[in-house]
Amino acid sequence: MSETSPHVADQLSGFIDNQLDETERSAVETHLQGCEECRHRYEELTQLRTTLQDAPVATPPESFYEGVLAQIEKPPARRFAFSFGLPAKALASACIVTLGFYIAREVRQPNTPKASMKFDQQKARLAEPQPAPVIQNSPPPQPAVVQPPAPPPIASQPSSQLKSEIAAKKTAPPAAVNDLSAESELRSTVDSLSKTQRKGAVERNDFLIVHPPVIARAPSASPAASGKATQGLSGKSARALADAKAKASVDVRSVAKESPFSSGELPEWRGTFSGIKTFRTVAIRTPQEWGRLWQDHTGSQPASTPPKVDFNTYMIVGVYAGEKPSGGYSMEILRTEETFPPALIVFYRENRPVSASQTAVSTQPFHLWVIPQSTLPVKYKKQ
Amino acid sequence: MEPDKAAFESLMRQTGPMIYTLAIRLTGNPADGQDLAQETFIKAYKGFGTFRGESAAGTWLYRICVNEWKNRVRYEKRRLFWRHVSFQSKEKDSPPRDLAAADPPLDINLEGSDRQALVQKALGRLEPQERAILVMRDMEDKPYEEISALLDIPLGTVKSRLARSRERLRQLFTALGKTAL
Repeated sequence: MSETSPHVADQLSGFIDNQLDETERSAVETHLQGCEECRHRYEELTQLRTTLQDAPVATPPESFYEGVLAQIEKPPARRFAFSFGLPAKALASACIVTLGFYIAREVRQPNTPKASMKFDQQKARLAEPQPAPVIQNSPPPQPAVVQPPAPPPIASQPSSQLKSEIAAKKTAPPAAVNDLSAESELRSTVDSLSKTQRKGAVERNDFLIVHPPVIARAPSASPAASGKATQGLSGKSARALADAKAKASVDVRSVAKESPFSSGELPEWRGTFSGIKTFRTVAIRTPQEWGRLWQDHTGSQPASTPPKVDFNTYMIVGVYAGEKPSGGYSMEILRTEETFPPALIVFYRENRPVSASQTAVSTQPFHLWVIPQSTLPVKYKKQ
Repeated sequence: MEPDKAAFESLMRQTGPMIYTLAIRLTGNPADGQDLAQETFIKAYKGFGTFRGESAAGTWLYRICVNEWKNRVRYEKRRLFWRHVSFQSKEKDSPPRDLAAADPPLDINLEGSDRQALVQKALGRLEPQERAILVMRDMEDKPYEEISALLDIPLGTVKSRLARSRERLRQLFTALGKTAL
């Protein structure tokens, strides 16, 4: 083989260690015979290997052994330094995942498939048989004077009709549910007077409640609460509302409690009378669920139109206490809290009568809250 | 179980020269080598109570020493990396620390031969992985398969790395020889 043939430098290491097969070995041997450069390199490599093999063995000094013995006889030092071992890394990862989860939940859009699944569950829950409302099973104590008409368009409700209905209600005996519907309509009419102002509120908050329902009925009005109820209304509207309340002896305390969300801008409904007479917790995420609950709640036939709520942005949580033997009971949602594992906890309280002298009439306290839409499972916790 | 100190000391004195030499060869200098060898025996003592003699004590200690050396090389790589990327480093203009360059090579203390001294000096300038495979194959005469297991690399990598390391040593030795003349 001539010197111009391919060199075998890459194979010299394997050749030295006898790692080549017979063909490769004979090819390298042949090449080395004719190639001065490769032969010189081979000789250098073998000499280096021989020198390495001849390297002396070191003998450790006595201090080496003494040092080891001193170390192994020393009691193990307690380590206070934080070690970034596997547990620490796992903890850090868990924190990052948790943080990511909360961030993702903040930006998640409502009405996701997961949320829809919950809606179905909620629908099934609401579809369970409920006790019949008062109006269906028991007639009012006295013949009702005012029959609730079908809800007219709010904007077209004339104020003269309001006056006549107020007068009619003044003479009407207290009826259970008929009054509730009438009051609801009455309130709708009053609200229509402050349409301009409420429209401003809608624009500010992007909240599409048309009117809060007046469901509760109490023997007397609370001036303080009534004052709260008129907050946000124009002077004319407030006067009209106050006038209507005085004439109809309607207590709107139940709709006036300041909401915990942004100074009462998210409404709530709280009262002592409802068509729902068993304990129930609700989480409403769709208009359909809301309509069904509203029907159970008002007990009216045909079903009245529930207040409009933009369920793309909001949802409703609520608690119904069930039937109580007297007045003085109330339900109160205290706060909501998001927890991990992911859940929305609604904390509520059931208030009992503080004095023995209570009206001997059955009540069904409830409290409904509008809160920002959430796809988390809702749980309720009594406090 | 508390290890038998007397038995361990006996084993240490018996295998001390082998491990001490291996450690110096792997690190390329006596100071780091002594430290590595001591750490090897301290680690071995912790496991001495559970050592059942299924393998020869020498092989067991050899493996501990190589594993400890690998840990140190990994640590040193990370340290060098972070020192290079750190803007606060005061040594950024200095070259990265060569594990073998700070101390005199092994041959100065152990061998008076000029050739051996030069080979050891060249060996000390190799990359740790290159030096380790030459130590195991050419100095300790370990078979390829054992080197593969000790360094946790495939057999093909052993062959290619060995060929490359031998060639690097030859070039360094030639360069150092020309400088010495």
